[in-house]
Amino acid sequence: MTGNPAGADHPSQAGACDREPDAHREREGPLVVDRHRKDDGRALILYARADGEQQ
Amino acid sequence: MSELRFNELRGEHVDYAIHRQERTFLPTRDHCPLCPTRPGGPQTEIPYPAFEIAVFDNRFPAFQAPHGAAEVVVYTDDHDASFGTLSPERAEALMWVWRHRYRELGARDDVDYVFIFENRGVEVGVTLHHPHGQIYGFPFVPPVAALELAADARLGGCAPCVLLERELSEQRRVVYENDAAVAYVPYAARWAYEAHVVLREHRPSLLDCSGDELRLLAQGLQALVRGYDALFARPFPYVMVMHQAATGGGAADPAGDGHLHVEFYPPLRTAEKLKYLAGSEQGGGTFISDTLPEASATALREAVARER
Repeated sequence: MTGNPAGADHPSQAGACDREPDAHREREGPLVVDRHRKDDGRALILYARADGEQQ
Repeated sequence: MSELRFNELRGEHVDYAIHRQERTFLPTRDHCPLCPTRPGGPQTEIPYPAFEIAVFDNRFPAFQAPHGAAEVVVYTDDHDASFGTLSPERAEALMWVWRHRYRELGARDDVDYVFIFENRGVEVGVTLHHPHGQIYGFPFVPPVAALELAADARLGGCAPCVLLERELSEQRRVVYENDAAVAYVPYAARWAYEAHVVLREHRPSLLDCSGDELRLLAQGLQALVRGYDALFARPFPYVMVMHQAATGGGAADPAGDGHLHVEFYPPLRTAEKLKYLAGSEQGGGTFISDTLPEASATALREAVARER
C-alpha cells in the first residue's frame, strides 16, 4: 500500500477507509499528508514526518 | 444538522447540535475510538494499526458544511500520552498539522474563523481520554475574537503586542520564555492559573510563522503544560484555545488581523478545588477570583522550572 504515514505496515481494511483515488503526496513543511475517505464519507487525513520520527 | 440561532439579548450565537447528545461518552480503554485499529480489535476512527497524527471529520459535529466544520485532531496513537508528554518532534509536527488545517479550512467560504482547541480532563467535560484536540470552523467570527479586535482599537494597536511588552517589562507574571514565545499569567487573569503563550513577533496566524517559530511555540506550550502537571503533581485539566486572525466575516483588524497566541483556562484553583462559574460570572460577566495572578505566576514559574 502506498501512503504509509506512520512507517508501519498499514493493510487496508476492506470497506473501512479508502485512500483518495486521485490523492498525490502532499507536503506541509516536514510532514507528508495522506488523505483518505471513510466509509461514511468523512475525511481522514494522516500526517507523518517525512524524515521519520523517534518517539 | 446543527441549528444556529442568534441570541439578541446577548448579541451572540447559540449552536444547537442535538445529535451530540448521543456522542461516545468515556468509553473503556478497549473501546477508545481514537486508538489505532489493532488486528482482531474493534474498528476505530483510524482503521490502521499505527499512525503519527490523524485528523478526521467529527462524527458528532457542532458545525458542518455548508455552515462550518468540526474536526478531531488525534495527537498520537498512544492512548496514555498527553500533549505534555509528546516528544518535541511530535509536538512540533502538531504545529504543522494545525497550520495545514488553518490554511485549508480558512480558505472555505463557509468558515470565517478557524478555532483550534483542546479540552483536557473530565473537569472540563472531556468525553474521550485519548490525547486529542479539536478544530471548529466557525461560520462567523466568535465573540471572544471580536473582543480582541475591540481591544486593538482601544489600545491603539495590536493588543497582544502591547500586553506582551508590559508583561516583559514587569516580569512578575512571566512563567516561561524562549527566543520566539513567552508564557505569562495575565495581569487580569480570570482563572487562577490562566496563562497565555504569545509569540514575540506579530504573527497573525500559523501561516506567518517560520519553522523555528513553530518549533519554539511547541516548546513553549509543552513547557507550560508540563509545569501545570507538576504544579499539583497531578494531570492538570485545562481548556486550551489558539487565537489567530479571522479568515472571513469582514473582521479586518486594523492592527494586522490578530496576533497568534494560545490561551489556557484551567478550572483548578487549588489541587482539589474547582472554580465554578456562578452568579457573578454567568449573570454579571464579572469573574471573582480568590488568587492573585502574581502569586499564581510565582508557583507556576517554579513548577515550569522544575520540569525543564
